Amino acid sequence: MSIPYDTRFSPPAPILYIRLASPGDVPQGESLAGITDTGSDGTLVPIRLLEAVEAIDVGEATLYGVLGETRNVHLYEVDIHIGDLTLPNVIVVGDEHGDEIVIGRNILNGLILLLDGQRRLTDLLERRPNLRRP
Amino acid sequence: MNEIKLSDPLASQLRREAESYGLAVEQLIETAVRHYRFLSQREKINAESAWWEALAPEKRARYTGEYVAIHLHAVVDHDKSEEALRKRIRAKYGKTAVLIAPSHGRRELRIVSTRLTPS
Repeated sequence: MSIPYDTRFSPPAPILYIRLASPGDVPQGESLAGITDTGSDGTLVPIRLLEAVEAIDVGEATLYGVLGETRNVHLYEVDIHIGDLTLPNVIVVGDEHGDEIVIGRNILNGLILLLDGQRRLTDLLERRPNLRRP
Repeated sequence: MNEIKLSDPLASQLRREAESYGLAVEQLIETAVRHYRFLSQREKINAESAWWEALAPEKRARYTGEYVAIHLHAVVDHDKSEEALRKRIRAKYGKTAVLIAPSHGRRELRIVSTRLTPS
């Protein structure tokens, strides 16, 4: 299934729809859009969403931004559901300030994504496509 | 359904609060309990972390190069593999908040974007 880029960003951004659940639980809430960010070590989730699913607090970390800003954060364990795929026991950052989900490399490195920027569509693939070189 | 009897003023406070948010009393209590649990586990993790950081360096040294799991101010498990440690802890402690941390230094994450700064 192709997911249109989110045009609320300029330029439009590739997103995935995810559902959160406490580890081992069935996801209850709606699908949530998360911007895919290969520049982010981790995945950020607004704290209110983590509280709603009763995510488990597992530690602390320091977050470093590209402009030198730092922030102390808590880490939470959740199950993440993307389509039919379940990623169990994923560690995410609880974001106390932002209101958007940022899907970082701790998740992206487990997926095969096709980012079709020309058509502004993202596809989550089951296997690597056979691409012919020009 | 189980019944819990609450005396005043708590019962009327709950009714008033629920009414002002347009919630059923049960919904209000459920939300409040969830919020309390969320804050409590954060306080627990903060306390476990402070305990670990205050531990004598020679005691921490025995876990060099490993991840440690800390529960109720004690190292309850450790492993070089964070994933293996996490699985054991979840199997043993269920959904209890147990601190899992690298034995040396603080965990660091980098975000190569400017979205960290609140607008």
